[in-house]
Amino acid sequence: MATKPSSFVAEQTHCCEFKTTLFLSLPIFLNLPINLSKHLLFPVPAFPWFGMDIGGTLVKLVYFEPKDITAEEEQEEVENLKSIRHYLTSNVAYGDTGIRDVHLELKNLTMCGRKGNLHFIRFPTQDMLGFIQMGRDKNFSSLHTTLCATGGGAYKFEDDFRTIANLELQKLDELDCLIQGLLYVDSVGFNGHPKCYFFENPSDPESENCVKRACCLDNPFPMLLVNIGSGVSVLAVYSKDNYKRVTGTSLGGGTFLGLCCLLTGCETFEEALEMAAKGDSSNVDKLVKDIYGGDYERFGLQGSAVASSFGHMMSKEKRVSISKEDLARATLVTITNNIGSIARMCAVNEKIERVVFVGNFLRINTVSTKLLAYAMDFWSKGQLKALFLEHEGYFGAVGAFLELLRTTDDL
Amino acid sequence: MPPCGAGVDRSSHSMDKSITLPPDEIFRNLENAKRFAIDIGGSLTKLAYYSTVQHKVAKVRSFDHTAKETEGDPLYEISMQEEVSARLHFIKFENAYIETCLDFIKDHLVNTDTKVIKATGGGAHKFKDLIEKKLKLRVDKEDEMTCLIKGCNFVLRNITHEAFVYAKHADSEFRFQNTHPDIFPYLLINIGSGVSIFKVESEDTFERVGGSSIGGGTFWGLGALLTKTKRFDELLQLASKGQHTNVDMLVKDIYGGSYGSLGLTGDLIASSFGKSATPDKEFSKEDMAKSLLHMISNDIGQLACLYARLHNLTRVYFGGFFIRGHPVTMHTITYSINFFTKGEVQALFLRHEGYLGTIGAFLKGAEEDSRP
Repeated sequence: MATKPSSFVAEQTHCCEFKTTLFLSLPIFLNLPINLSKHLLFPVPAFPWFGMDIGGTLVKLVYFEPKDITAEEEQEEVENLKSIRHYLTSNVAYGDTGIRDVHLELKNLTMCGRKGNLHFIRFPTQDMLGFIQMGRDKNFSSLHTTLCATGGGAYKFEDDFRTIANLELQKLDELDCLIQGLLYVDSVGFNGHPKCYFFENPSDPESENCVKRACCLDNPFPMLLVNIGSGVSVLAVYSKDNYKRVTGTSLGGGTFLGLCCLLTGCETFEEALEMAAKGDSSNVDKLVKDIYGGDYERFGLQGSAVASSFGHMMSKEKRVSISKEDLARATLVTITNNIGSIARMCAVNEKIERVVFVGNFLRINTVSTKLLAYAMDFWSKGQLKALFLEHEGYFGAVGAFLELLRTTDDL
Repeated sequence: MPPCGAGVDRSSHSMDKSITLPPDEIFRNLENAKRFAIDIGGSLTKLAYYSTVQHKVAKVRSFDHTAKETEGDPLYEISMQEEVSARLHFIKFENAYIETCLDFIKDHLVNTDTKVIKATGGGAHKFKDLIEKKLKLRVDKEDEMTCLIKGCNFVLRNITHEAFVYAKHADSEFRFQNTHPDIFPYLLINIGSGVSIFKVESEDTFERVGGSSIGGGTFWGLGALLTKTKRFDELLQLASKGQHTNVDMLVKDIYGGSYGSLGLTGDLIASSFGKSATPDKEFSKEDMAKSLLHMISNDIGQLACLYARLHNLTRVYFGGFFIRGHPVTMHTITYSINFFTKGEVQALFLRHEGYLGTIGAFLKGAEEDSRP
């Protein structure tokens, strides 16, 4: 059985008195959203604490590992809760496809008076049913915890969670969670490291001068937030609670991976990126110089600009002369440039100068991040700036997790 | 002499299986051609020539019967007359066959005093020497954008039922527009190998405001890679038979239904080709072609909306040879524009879509010749 609420509260009050003095002296606390401090005096949700974002291709999970468990608490702790904690924190891979992004772990967070680390885990949505079955096998429902979930899958798999594992999902809107999650992670910092970055000298992505530079998201509003997952959503965010979805496009990460798989036979995102890193798309794409014989000054187009993506591929000679790597590169460049183009037009239409790109399409994908930085800079003649965040794909899950801490009426 | 229009690959041993039209059909009245204009794009060469056509016309003369009737007098008389009318002929062929076609034109040019050919498009620079050598005509280069806009203005003003709106579910799918003297301002989206977007404010005020590298060349190239189909028209045929839902990830595949709070219905495409990352699965050519067509059409439609919004324009015309009257393409683009602008912007297609540049170049030549 779960720990009794009353002892929990007593524990909390005790901790609260002890921590008040620390609360004022540690600067990190001042950045916490105000409503969380109320929870020092209120009951907190039962462990385990999860936030889930079930997307089209990937499931993102954040898990809070408490590091301040007292001996007493440990003794009272239920067996399956303990095993879940050990399973998650002592592994970096789960089954065949689950991965914990250790480098993104946020250490020494204090949430609702508990101190601990926030872990970031992902696995393919294809394996969702397996995950739900695991929840059933580990008797997750007996823990009486609320499972906060966002993303389309929160709706799609709601019935499966209920019927297979006897779990109720608290469904949350994915864009709300995205924004709240982003603002929260920005506010707590990344273990003293920068979490937001841009590219210096983006005009030559290939050169050594195009380097990553840290920056702050102070006064983040207004910002154009481009979330590149399986598909793309473009949001104009004016304040914490005021945002609108400007538009979206179906040419996203899912398109890149899908087309790459069809064209090259690769099977994973990592493989696709590896190939793209080695390829040369200029043999696949028809460039301005292939049509004009050089630059086309009248249109302000350099000879090296792409006039028609995959434009050479209707010719048999060209098709046999290019490699799989070239195709992967061309696919990546085409999708990335298209997103950049749409983002730029939205920024201009909405009159916003700061464009933040997030989403797991950008994970380990420096080709795309640099290209996006270049595109924003070039087409806007330096007016627009592209910004990126280290926890790019996890903000939805963090937002869902925050909602768990906000809701205390489950006790 | 292999006819260019049917696209015979000289290097292959066997003849193409496609229908070959006799050359006389394709190059009608070439002997009398008086003026040429050529637009050499990234993938296709468009030719326009002005020629006279001789044909018989039946003339009917009816007699006045108010006077007293005479038995056996005919009620009317039909006579045949020879008439010569002038026509502007249009041909297009793939750049790969340009030499062959130039040879053919040269061989059949009989009755011409023409010394000059007006040329536009990127290839005007690239193929200038070849044309001059083959046709023994001087190539007079004209700016692509000027020709395009000139051609577009001309057809909108002078050719009835040039522009039309496509409505898939209406009684009459095609709603042809009448010519209008007042055509400005408008957005012209030329979908060739790539896409160029022009804002046209008046006869003399126009500029290229943007573009995209995802155009007809992308559909052709990616289509050839994915389906092993080499002809553009065949790809379109495959697309009309496909089910894109097998390949694309829809909103309902992610949400189990619609994403209500954002007004995104379950059938909308969330991620093109989003389902094709499964390693062991095979997808049909038709499904992939359809997905590709949707992907590119939607993308162009969206871009059109972003530019229309930025420049406050409510009319968008589509030129170039991507569309070719294909119902899926026209429906997708129309739907896309309605969706992204909530019906505020109108999508219009043109019958002479890909020949705008050629017409413009031709007109330039005609203007110059008529100057004293």
